[in-house]
Amino acid sequence: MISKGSKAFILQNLNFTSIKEEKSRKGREKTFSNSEFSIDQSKLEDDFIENFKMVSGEVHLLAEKEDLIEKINELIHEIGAQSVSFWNMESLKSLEFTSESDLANTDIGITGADFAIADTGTLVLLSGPKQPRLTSLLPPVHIAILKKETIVPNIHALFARLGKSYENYDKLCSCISFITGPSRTADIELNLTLGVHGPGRAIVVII
Amino acid sequence: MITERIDFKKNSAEALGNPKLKKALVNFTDRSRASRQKAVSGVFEWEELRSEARGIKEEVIKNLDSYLLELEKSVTRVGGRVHWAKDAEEASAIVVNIARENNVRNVVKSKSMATEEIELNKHLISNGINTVETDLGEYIVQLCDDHPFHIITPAIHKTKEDISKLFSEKFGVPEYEEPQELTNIARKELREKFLSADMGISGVNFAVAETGTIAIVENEGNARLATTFPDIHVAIMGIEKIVPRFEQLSIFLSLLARSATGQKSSTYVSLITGPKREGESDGPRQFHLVFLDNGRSEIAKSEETRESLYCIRCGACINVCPVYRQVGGHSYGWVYSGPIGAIITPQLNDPQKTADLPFASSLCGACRDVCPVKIDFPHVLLSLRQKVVEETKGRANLPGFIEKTAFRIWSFVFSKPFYYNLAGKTMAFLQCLYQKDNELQGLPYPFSKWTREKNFPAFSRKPFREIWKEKYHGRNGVLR
Ligand code: SF4
Repeated sequence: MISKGSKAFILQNLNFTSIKEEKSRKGREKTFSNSEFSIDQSKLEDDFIENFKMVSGEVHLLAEKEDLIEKINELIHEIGAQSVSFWNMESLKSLEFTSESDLANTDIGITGADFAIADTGTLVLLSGPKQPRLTSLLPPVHIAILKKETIVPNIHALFARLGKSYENYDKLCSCISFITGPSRTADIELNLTLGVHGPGRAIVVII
Repeated sequence: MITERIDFKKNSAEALGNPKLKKALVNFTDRSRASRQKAVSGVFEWEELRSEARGIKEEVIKNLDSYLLELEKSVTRVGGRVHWAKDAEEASAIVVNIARENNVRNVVKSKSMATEEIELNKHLISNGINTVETDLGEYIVQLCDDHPFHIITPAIHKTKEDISKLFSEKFGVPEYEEPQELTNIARKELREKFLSADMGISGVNFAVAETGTIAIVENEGNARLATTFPDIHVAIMGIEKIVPRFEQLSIFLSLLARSATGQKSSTYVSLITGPKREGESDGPRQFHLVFLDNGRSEIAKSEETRESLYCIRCGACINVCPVYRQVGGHSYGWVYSGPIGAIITPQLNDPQKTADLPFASSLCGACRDVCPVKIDFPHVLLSLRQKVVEETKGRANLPGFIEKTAFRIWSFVFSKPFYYNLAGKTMAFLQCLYQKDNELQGLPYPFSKWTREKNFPAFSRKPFREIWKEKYHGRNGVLR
């Protein structure tokens, strides 16, 4: 049963070497990279698109950022959505919908993306007062708006970037979500099926 | 906890007699190996990642006490609560307690081996708390009151037809055939559960000591739902899951997805640091983290087998194991199967009840070659075998006695040319009783144990020594 002594018991048991080795506080000695990737931003964009499509994601590339609202309207229309819910973002201010608050009964969730990882096709979303977590999760369709300059080459570069923006990590947000395509499972005879819990469609609009 | 002795031979005989299972196993292991291989070959620095990960784990386990304290401090700093559980019973009691204090009625769970290990569902349900597994595979397994067959794909032993029947019985829907239709049913059923849940329980893939962050890796989104929707989030972690620094997650996340499912990245990775912050509209109000020891601190002490704790539960060793491929997950008798089961089950349970497991391996080392943290399985297995043998020393033990006597006779005979010669001749003479086409079949006990499964080559009528003599005698090794 629950005992106050368990902590002491576990720590006592683990106190097995008298001279503890120097802890690796310095951080990683090696920096991992992937030499296939140059810093060339358009290459990163291409790689992201290729990899996101590979995991059944959909991508729309916009030439001008002024085209965003038109594109979103087009997607809402194509999906036949009755209701949408979206993050409180500057770029969506002129959208002619009100953001639905009952996410469980919303057809589309629209979010931004704080970063993206090229070599895995991953979107990275940070949580916050203006960036709820459920928008990208509850509705059957998720649309993410991605600025192309936020694409980083790989996961090691992403963590380096997060490290820089957080300094000591004491202001780390409550949840960082990595999203690589729509929700999937292969639990029934290894057949791939989409949308088991999260969205069945994941769409990225790149500006 | 294991209540009866695990009889690996009996269990595997049952599995071997099931042709449907055999087909599923071969199909599954072939596919997982191929996709892992493909994913790994795309990373040119794979070996360096493995070495780095192993190095980090070595250091973590040696200093686990101070890392646990650091993690506790970090979690507390961000508004979470840490609970220390020395064994399975205490861990379950802690979770039940949290549920009671908050009047929790409905719990949703995402997949977690630690909660399987402590049989948490049983405890919650017996305390009147509705508990639902939400990973599709686990949900299927729970609906049929079965046990997971594999740590990554728990329901791989169920066919489409089985599942179709099951859903039809439980939910009164038609017997759908398409996996997508079945998945949709599950989505609908489970979505209801999420919306009415007041507590979500998850496992932990990695816990970062410096920030108090836990990483949860999944494909379905059920872990995201379980850790976002309900008011209370309880995460349960084996104490070995620690990674010292936030940035080091990139190494482990790269290794895990590719090793587990051959994906470059799993669909969802959630890095959760404490409960929701002020101003946030979603996320849990309470965050609890349970440290589960349950025998792990004992393993950490042992120089020889400490590396068993480096495991990141990717399942790659299982998918390449020639033994698992034949006998499947249930033969290992507990929640962990395949090579990782063979080494971890005996160390977390009564060694006498699990004595079969260290022997459930051909020591081929395929597991060691794929393991992302380079666990030296043959080494650990041999050391565990040694323990089993030492345990049984001095106890009446017929097979052990026969083996020992046989080896004594063997060493005597083989060290004396006269007896060696005589033995060969005697065997060549005696074997006519069992000989068939140059092979020996159906030998009497104890040799029957061998010949039941394969034939033994017959002894040559003319021993090698004689052939040698005839051909080379007096010719200084020149062939006649
Ligand atoms: S022992 Fe290695 S290969 Fe097996 S599950 Fe653990 S980390 Fe993966």
